[in-house]
Amino acid sequence: MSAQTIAAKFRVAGEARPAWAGRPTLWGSGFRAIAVILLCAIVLFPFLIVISTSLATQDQINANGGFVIFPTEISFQAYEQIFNGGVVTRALLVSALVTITGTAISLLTTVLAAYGLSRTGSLFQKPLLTIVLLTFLFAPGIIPLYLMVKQMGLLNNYWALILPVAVNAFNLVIVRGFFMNIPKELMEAARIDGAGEWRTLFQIVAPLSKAVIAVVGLFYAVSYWNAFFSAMLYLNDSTMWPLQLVLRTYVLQSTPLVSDTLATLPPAQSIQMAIVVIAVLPIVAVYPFLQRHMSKGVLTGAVKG
Amino acid sequence: MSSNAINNKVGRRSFIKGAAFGLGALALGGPLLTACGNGAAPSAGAGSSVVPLPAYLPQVIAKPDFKAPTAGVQNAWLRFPTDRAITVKGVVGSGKPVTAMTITYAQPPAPLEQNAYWQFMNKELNIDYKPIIAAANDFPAKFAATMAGGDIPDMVAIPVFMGLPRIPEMYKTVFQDLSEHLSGDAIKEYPNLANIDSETWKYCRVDGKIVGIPTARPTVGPPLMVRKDLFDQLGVSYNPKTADEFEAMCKAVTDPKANRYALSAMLGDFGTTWNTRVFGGIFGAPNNWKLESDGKLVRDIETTEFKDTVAFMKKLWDGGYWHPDSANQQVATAKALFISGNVLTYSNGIAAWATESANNPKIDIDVVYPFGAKGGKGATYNNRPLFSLTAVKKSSDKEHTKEMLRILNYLCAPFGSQENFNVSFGAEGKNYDVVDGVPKVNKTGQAEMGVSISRLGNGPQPLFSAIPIDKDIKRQFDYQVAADAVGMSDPTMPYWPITVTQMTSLEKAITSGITDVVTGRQPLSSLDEVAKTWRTGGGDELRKKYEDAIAADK
Repeated sequence: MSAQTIAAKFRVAGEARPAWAGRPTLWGSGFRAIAVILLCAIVLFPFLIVISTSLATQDQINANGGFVIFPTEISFQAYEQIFNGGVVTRALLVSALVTITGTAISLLTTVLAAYGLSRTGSLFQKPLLTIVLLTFLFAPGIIPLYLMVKQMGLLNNYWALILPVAVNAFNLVIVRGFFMNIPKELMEAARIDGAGEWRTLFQIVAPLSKAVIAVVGLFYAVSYWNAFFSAMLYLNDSTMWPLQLVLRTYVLQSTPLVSDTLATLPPAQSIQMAIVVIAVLPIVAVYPFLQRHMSKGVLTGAVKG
Repeated sequence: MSSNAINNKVGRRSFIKGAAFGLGALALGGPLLTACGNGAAPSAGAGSSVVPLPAYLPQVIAKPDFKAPTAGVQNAWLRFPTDRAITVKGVVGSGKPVTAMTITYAQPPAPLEQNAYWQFMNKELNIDYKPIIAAANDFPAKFAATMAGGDIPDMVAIPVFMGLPRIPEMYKTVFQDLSEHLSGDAIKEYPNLANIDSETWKYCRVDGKIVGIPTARPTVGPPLMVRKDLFDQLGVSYNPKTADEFEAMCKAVTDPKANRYALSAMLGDFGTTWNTRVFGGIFGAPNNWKLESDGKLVRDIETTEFKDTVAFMKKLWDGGYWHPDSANQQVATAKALFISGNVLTYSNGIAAWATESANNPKIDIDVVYPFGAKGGKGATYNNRPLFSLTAVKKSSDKEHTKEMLRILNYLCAPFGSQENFNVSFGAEGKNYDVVDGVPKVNKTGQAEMGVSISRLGNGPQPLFSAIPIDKDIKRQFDYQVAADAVGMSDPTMPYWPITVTQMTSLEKAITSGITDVVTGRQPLSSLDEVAKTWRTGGGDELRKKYEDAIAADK
């Protein structure tokens, strides 16, 4: 890149800056770039270690004291072991299904509830909103929640991982706040044109709320993906356990995932790291597509007017 | 500001007012609610009537390769006996589903349809076994929820070391009193249960009644295992005779540049354990409690020997001999570091020695023999003779109770019997292979045994490994003989159902206090404050309960 092109880029960057910001200098931009690169390296370094250790052989792990940064020899034995044994594959499928189904149900119910609670004059709006807000103050506790799930007949049922946590009050308040900031005139115009509440919600409000729906959807998805405690409580059949519970059992108790198709057992650390990679991968894969919505959505409710 | 927001009468100010009111109600009402559940735990000692212990009718099916000289040492076998006696005659179960809750240290098993071991045990016992398993860390929550839910499994294996609350009440309300089936000569109907010694049965008596079947365990306390191969390579002896020699040993093998350390702590049930059960014996600190001649109990943290123990552990930390991550080391990681050679010692239950030797044939494991801080024999801490107690769900159907006892009788079959072989090895060709005439559990077998049915009941445990490790078995036997000779018991162990509400937090405060001193965050004198906080926080209450129970038993 020529010096003229670089200067032109700086000029464009300078002209695009806010009025209160000074013209960027070469040194200033250089230091900022170095700082950002260092921060990225600090954040990415643990990921590198996790991936590298999952691909390392026992000799490399021993030589490096338990964790490997740059493996000289790549081995996929840990991944073969994991997917060959059947336990993790099954748990991965369970986690995926629960996350997808749960997120869809949670988004639908949250959006419906938020819309109803944002419309002035809705039936029982104030009492219902008060009840929702009260859940910020009081958590039911493990035993009452367990009793409720049991009485609903959901023990040993995948729905126990979804229905009791389908609507989160915090997310509901976020979405409601966003809906309330949508100009009322739009709804009135839709009503004049003959649209009912359902049509107004799905054809006017929802398309304008993509950012907040994406953010809340991601919150729900991560929450479902990471859930292990509810699975431990409500699923007596261990063959129904999701990935995080299997991961926890393995990492905390270091029990080998064994398979009779492998001649030698892969090192325990590489199996642990491989399980971590598998558990984190779906979130990392999905997040870039939602990132642009996140930056808009996280500010929802922060700025009024 | 949007018109919707203006019209919304539940504004920020009114919400905050309501929240303040709610929090105030919680602050005032909290103690009242706590008082609802804060009843005094009944004594686990003798109640109004004490049933006789079951008769002890020992059976030794096969002659051990190394015979135990005392009751505290395990008989040792190098191979599973080829002539296997049948100890259970007739059909065990009724073919109906049997639910059982156990702790697990294994991975979740494959489903029944793909699990040969599970199918094999169902056929052997003539039951449809439905396990409810919970990992050790999660067991208290799972147990509490299951008991509260009222859907009690047919059998529940209750770990005796977890300090689970309300056990005596549960034994009166939801679990069956087994006294009429097991007390005295009644146990003759279940000969494998009668093979369990009387000392172990003492732990199964709550309020004078026999309430469960033990899963027997050796009483020898946790050894300090060492990587003999690496010690030999470095030319360092791992059998010090004094604390100073031990310190010198640690110094000789520690090399941070080579990422090699002498010791590692690890996270236990109540926080970081700094191999306290090993070092405490070296310095003569009590095994949790000491019973004085006047019947008073003294807790270990109230003694100078305990302070000396912690001071030594701190000295080792200051010398850099502990792995840097010790304060937050998971058991899994500590074990991995030991196997990889980054930490040259590892302390866990005595059974872990055989397990790690069998699973890691390339490394050579030995142990540090007991010694005193200033020379002499030192002491080792004895453990309870059981891991858990399996209770049977309360039922008016005597046949149901008898069926459960028949199942447990099968599972407690002695070493050398066909039944014990079935539980340990599973189905031939699927769970174990015969190599040069020696049955060896294969990797599928190890995985499928995650069903954890063997955690419901165990007879006297042999010193044995399904994967042959002859040299290690002999080493362990020799160590057990030496350790048993200097074993120190905790006088409160038989009274395990006695708890106080704050049991877990009391223990955590102690281990946290030790960690603070060892890592230098607090001075050694802070242990006095830890002891005082323990006393006023429930320790004195616990002491009184134990003293009353011990006095009632005399």
